[in-house]
Amino acid sequence: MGKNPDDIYKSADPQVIKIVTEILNLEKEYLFVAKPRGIAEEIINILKKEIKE
Amino acid sequence: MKLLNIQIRNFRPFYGDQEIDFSDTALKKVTVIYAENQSGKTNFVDAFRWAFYGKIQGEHPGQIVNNLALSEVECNETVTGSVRVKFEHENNIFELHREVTDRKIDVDRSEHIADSLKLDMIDSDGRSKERMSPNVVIKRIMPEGLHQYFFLAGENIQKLGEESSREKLQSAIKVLMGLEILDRSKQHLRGKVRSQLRDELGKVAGRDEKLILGELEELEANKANIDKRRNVVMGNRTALSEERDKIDEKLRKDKNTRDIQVKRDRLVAEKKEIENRLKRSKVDIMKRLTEEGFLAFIKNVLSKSKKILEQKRQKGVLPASITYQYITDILESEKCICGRELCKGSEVYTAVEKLRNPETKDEYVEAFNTLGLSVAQLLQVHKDLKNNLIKDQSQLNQHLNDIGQIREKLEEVESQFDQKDYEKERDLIENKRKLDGDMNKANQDIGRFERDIEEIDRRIQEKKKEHEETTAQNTKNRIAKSRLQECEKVADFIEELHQALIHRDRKVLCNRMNEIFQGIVRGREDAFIELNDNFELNVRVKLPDGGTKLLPKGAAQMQITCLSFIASVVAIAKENMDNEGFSRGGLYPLVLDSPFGVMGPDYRKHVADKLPQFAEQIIILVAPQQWDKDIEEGMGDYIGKRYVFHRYTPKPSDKITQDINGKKHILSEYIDKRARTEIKEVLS
Repeated sequence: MGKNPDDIYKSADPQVIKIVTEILNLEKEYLFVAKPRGIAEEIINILKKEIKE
Repeated sequence: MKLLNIQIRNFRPFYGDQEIDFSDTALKKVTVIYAENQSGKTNFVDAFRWAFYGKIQGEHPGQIVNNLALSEVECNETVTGSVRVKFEHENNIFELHREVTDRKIDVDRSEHIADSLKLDMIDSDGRSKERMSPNVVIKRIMPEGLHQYFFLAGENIQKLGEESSREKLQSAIKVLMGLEILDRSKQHLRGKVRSQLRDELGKVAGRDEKLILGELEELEANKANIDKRRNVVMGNRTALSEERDKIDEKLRKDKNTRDIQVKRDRLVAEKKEIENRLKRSKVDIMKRLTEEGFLAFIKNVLSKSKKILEQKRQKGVLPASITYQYITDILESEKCICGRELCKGSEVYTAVEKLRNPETKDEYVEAFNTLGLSVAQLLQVHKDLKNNLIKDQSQLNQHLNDIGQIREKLEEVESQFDQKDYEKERDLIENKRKLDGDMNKANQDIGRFERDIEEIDRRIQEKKKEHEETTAQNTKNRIAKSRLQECEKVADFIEELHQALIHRDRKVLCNRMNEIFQGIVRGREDAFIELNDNFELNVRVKLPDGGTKLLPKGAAQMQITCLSFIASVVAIAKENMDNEGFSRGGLYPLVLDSPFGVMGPDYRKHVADKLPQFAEQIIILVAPQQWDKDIEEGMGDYIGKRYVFHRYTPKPSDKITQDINGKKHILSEYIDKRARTEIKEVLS
C-alpha cells in the first residue's frame, strides 16, 4: 500500500515542494497547448532560481 | 466556466436572430429548452460546438447558413450565419463570435466566401474589450477533447461506457482531475529539462584541481632546480673569471707579453665601451618609437588638415569672415562641422552658439591659429622623427661596424700569442684560452637557464590562471550537479504523487459515482459501478457468496452510469480547484440533449431529483414526451429560464404543444413556406 498524497507532501523536502508547486502552476498554463514551446526552459529557470550560482 | 448567453443568426434551422439567456445562479442553475424532434436540439448543441471548434456533428456539416435566409436573397447576394456565445470563466467575461458568409449562386446552390472567429474579453465595467487569441483561450478553457463530456447528446451519453471510449475517459479523468498536469511535468522533467541540465553539466565539467596543483608544484620544483644549476654555473663563471684575471695579470707583468696584453686590454675596454654605446642607442630608438612613433600613421591626416585649413583661409571662410548667419546655419542643422551632434542645451551647442557673439571673435581667431600651429608643429615633429630615426640607425650601424673591427684586431692580437717568441708563456696562454672557452660555455649555459626559467615562469602564470578558472568552473559544476539532482528529486516526487492521486481519485470517483448511481437506481443496493484500472466503466452486482458479476450493459442503465460518471467528474473537478498545493480541476457547465431519452419513468424521476446537483449550471434540451410531472417536480425549483423551439415545418402535421406551468406553447406547426425554427422564451 503506497503513501497517500498528504503523507507524500508531509515527508517531502520543502524546496522540492516549492519547485513542484511552481512547475505544476506553469504546466497548468500550458496544459491545453498541444506542443508547448519553451516550457522546458521555464522549468529550468525555476530550478535555477532555487539553486543559484 | 459559465454560459451566459447565446445569439444565433441564420444558423442551420434557426432563421433570423435568435437568443437565449442562460440561468446561472446557484439556486436557479437550470435552463430548460423544450423542442420537438427534428426541430433543432442537436443543431443547438452544434451551435456551441461550431462556435468553439468550428465543427458540426449533425447532418450536412458544410451547410451552416440558414436555407430560408438564402432563399430570400437574389443570386450573388450574401447571407451571414453566426453564433455568438457569451461566457464567464475565472471572473472574466468572454464573447466568442464565429460567422460565415455565403454567396447565393442559384436557387439550390451557395458558396462560402468568408468566415471569421473573434474572442473578446470584456472588463468588469462591461465596456472595454480586449481582443484575445481565440484558439489559445478556447484550448485553455474548454479544449476540444473535453467538450464531449459537457455538451452531450442523449445517444452519446451511453457511448461513454463503451470500450472504444476508454482512452477518452482516461484522458478526460486525467485532465479534469489535474493528473494530466502531473503527467506532462514528469515528461518535461525527465525529457528536455533533464537532458538540457546534463548538457550544462557537461559544459562545466572542470578538471581536477589536485591535478593542476600537482602540475604547478612540478613546474615550481623544475624552476628551483634550474635556478640552482644556474647559480652553480654562475659561481663557476666567477671562479673562471678570477682565474683568467690572474693569468691576464701575469701576462701583463711578463715583459715578453706585456705589450700584447696591454694592447688586448685596451681593445677589450674599447669593445666594451662601444657595446655599451650600442645598447644605449637601442634604448634611445625604442624610447623615440614609443613616444613619437604614432606620428608615422597620422601624417596623411595632418597634411589633409593643413590643406583644409589653408583652403578655408584662402576662401576667407575661416577665421576672419565667420558670420552670424554661418554659425546660425550650423546650429540649425544640429551638426557641427566636425561631425558632432549639436543638441540644444549641450556643452558643444553652447560653445558653438558663443561664436555668434562678436566678443568671442578674438577667442575664435586664437583657437583657429592654435589649431593651425599645432598641425604645423606636429608635421615638423613627424619630419624630425624621420630624420632622427635615420640618424640613430646610422649610429647603430657605426657601432656594429666598430665592434666588428675591434673583434678583428683582437683576433690579430690573439694570433700574435701563437708566435714562437711566446713559447715560454705557452701554458699560460693556452690555459687562458681554455678559461675563455669555459667562460663562453658558462655564459651560454646561464643564458639557456635564464630562458628556461622565463619559460617556466610563463607556464607557472598560465597554470595559476588555469587553477583560478578551474576553481570557478568547479563551483559551476557543483551547482549544475545540484540542479540535476534537484530535477530528479522533483520528478520522483511528482511520480509518487501521481500514483497516489490516481489511486485516490479513482477511489473518490467510484464512491461519488456510486452515491449518485444508488440515488437513481433505488432498490438495487446490490448493484454498483466499477471504474477499473483500465478506466472501464462497468456495472456489477454483488453475489451472496461475496463475489461480484458483471451486469449486461442495458441502454438505460449505461445512460445512468455515464451520467453518474460525468456528474462525479464535474463535482470532483470543482472540489479539486485549489487542492494539493496547485490548482487542479475547474468549473464546468453541462449541456444535455435528451438526458432522459431511454429511461423508464422511475429512473427519470430519480435522475430529475439528482440532476440539479450534478453541476454549477445545467442546460437541458427535451422533447415533450420526455418531460413529465415527476421531472418537473424534481427539477422545477432549480429552473431559472425556459425556452421553446418553435418549429414551422413544411410537412403537413398537427400542431404540437407543450404544457408549461399550465400554459400551452407551440413546439411545431405546419407552414406551407418559409420552414424554420425560432426560439421563444417562456415567461412565467
